Amino acid sequence: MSAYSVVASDTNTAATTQGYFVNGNSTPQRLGLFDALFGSSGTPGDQACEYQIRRITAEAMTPGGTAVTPFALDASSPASQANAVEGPTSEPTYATGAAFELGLNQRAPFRWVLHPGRELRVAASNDAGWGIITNAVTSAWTGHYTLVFEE
Amino acid sequence: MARFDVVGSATNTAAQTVIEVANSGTNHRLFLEAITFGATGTPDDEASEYQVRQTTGLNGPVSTAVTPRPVDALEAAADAEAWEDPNAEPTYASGALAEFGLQLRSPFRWVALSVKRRPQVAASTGAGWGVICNAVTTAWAAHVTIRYEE
Repeated sequence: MSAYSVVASDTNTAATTQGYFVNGNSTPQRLGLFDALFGSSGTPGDQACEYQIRRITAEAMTPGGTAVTPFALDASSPASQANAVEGPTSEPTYATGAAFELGLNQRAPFRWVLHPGRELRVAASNDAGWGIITNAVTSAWTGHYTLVFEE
Repeated sequence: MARFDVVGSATNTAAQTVIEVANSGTNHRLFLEAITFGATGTPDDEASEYQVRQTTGLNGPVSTAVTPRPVDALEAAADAEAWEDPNAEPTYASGALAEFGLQLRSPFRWVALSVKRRPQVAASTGAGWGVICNAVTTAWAAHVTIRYEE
């Protein structure tokens, strides 16, 4: 297995996905999310946001946003087969429920990590993956995110 | 193998590298273990976007060199070179390893989760990492420490 990071930034408007990664269509893997970073680069204000990490079951046919190439932590690893997008304009389809929920203030960066062997896993099926979605926000700001996964 | 700290500071101007470390001829596989971000100067409501990116060449900066300091005082000197506030930007591989949105008031430390999950580069000249400021509301004096193994 190799590990990859996906960086994303987007305005954290309520009910929109900030960034995600999913299996491609050729050789889907059991993608395992184990690290997520949340931060902000806008002028600090007293604002707050509710984020969730949710499991994706299908990508929109035309997700929009910006494609992101997963970056291999080990420079000698092969390229990831996964697809990643920051700031999609068409939402992916999520499974019911959330794996993680975070109430975060704009002034506070946050890192969430999982122990080796305790990664959030998806089935090895096309379009399965993980996304960060904003559920609610007092006043939106520019968020920055890093998701690290293995495949 | 030995671990080293590279300590640097720079005004975090947008699109400029704050600190970098890379192979310089006697090459090794370098492993990134931790990065610490902080600020000095009067605290204020400012924010910055940093990225950690993989370098492929340092492009001959002439200031300011930083000597990597061994974590274990008995270790030999590092073979890698390091620079703070380099006057020539390195060449970066496409993409970013990590992206941080950080505020002037908040120090932050990132640590690799385990030995197996450390970012690593090939044993080639110029291969390493840089911490670059992508955007900032109003620049401040940033202080960054990189810990790596070679």
